Amino acid sequence: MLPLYLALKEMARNKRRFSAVFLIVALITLLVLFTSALGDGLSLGASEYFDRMGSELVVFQKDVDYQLQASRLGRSRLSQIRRVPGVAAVGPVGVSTAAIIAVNGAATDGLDVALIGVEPGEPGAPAAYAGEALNDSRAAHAVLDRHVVERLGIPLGATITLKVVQGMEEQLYDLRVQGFAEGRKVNYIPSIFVPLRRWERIRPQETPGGNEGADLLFNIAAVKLDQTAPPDAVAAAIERTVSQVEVTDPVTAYRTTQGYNDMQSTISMQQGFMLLIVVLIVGSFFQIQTLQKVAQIGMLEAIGASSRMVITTLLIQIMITLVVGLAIGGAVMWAMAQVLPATVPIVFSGTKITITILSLFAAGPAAAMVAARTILKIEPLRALGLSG
Amino acid sequence: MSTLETQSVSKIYHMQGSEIRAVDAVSLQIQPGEFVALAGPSGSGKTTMLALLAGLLHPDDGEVLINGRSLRTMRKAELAAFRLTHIGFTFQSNNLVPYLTVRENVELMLRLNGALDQQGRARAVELLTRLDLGKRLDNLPSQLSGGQQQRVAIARALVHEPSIVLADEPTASLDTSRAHQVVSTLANLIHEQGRAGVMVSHDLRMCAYADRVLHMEDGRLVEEAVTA
Ligand SMILES: Nc1ncnc2c1ncn2[C@@H]1O[C@H](COP(=O)(O)OP(=O)(O)OP(=O)(O)O)[C@@H](O)[C@H]1O
Ligand SMILES: [Mg+2]
Repeated sequence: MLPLYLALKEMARNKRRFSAVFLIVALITLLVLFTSALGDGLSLGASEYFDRMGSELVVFQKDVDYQLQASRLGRSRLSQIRRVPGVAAVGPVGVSTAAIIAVNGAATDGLDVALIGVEPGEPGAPAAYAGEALNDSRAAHAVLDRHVVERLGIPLGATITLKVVQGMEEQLYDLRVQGFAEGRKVNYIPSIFVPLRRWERIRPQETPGGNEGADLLFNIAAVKLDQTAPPDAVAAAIERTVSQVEVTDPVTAYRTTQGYNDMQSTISMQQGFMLLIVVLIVGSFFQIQTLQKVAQIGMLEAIGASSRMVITTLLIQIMITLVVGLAIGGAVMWAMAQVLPATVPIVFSGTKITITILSLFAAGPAAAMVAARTILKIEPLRALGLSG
Repeated sequence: MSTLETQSVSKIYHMQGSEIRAVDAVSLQIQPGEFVALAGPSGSGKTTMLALLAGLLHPDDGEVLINGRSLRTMRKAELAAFRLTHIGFTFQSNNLVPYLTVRENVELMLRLNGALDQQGRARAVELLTRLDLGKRLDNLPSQLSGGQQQRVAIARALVHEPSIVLADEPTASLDTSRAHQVVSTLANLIHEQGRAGVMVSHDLRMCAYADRVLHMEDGRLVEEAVTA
């Protein structure tokens, strides 16, 4: 096939130039995909807990604008919610903060974590990818999310020491690490899960050790529905039958948190702009590259090469360039993702990678076509020295 | 039937109100095996004439016929295909594909025609050898002198056995002795192979190798000098 022959010959005889071209495409790909992944990683910090919650509905206290820390629910609400038709299970979720100051007695730099109290086996409690999920409703056990595990390098079975401010004092509590769960950041900080009864005692509060006997308070309730139950209808039913609550789905729960939308639109805008600029750069790059072949293309046309042959040659070469460049860029990105410290959150979105690749594959050839059309019209004559 | 014939062909350029009659009612006939030189001062319309003969320009008036077929009714793709099989071309400059070797540049013409076979390859080497490039087969154009590049273009213009060979100033970048050698080789090949050849040159010594010399001035054929 002649176009392929010409495209490959040109590349083979200009190895240095085309290596540079590959590199540019690779770097550009890397730039787009990586900044995009960083942005998504950042926004994940706001959504991860709810994204992985695994329940269809979340119950908040009424009129707190779905603010996790502002919401207060008591134990009596749980049984009321559970009685609503369509509800399969309800789990209380209490969220506060603490710092891990030691692992197996060895001091750490002090990692701030979300201290989340859940009822073992109920909605809101995480599954463990290693070790065991929480199974004792009072024990001093903890399940750590992946971010905590990776940052502190904690082994299963280790004892971690939490520092919590209660009243005027700092209290230290030891917990045994029973399992690891997937990442579940809450408000950008990684999380550890403990049984709600234990959480009640060790969370930051006025009275050290908590008030035995007081009504158990938590922040929100996670609701799992019967398979066939329509979420909207059940949500409405809960709001009708249980007083002073507001029900939503996990996605709305984080979307409405303060600052989330601002941040999200900043990130999207950044990603969009980056893509646009890169598409323009790649486009003009290929356009210039094509325009540089004016003399050659004109000569080929003049000796009788068809426009289609010339254009196919250009396209094949651009496709090869993009494929090789994207492959190199992708490989470098993958390598970087492996060596990057766990503290840098990066998330690769399949959709965004696809959009980026498709945009590049559209922009390169489109720009080259625009250039080629002009060339093909005038250049056979210019090859003869007639200006056309 | 003539291989190449024009009937009162004209090409007019319009420039800010004034018109330039680059080619003005030119009629000519060239027979198989005939080598014609087109001479004339710079700007007299020689290259424009070649472009008309090759179907790269549409005449504003008159007809170009190749092997009795008028180019007028052919569409662009058709003309390209026609050029590919019937015409061999060398240009004043920018003759070669820079990333193909001498041999590959000549073979390209066969590849374009979908006719690269053993015989074709052998013919390419033979032509290049006759043009004194037997030792430069695997060089890239950038490694050749201007004159050597012109000779590669001549080989390319002949390798697919076209009925017409059009050469625009093939000797412009050659020294005198080399120019004589190239033009005499071109003339011999055209005569031997029975092609119709048109060579643009304003060097009258080169025109001596032609069977006929057509003189152009301001787009017109002014006289016809018979040299052989
Ligand atoms: N695209 C164009 N627009 C306007 N005028 C043109 C165009 N192309 C050529 N001309 C004019 O047509 C005339 C003939 O040009 P042409 O290139 O055919 O001359 P030539 O005999 O080949 O000259 P040279 O010996 O310098 O190559 C010139 O006056 C030139 O300026
Ligand atoms: Mg000229």
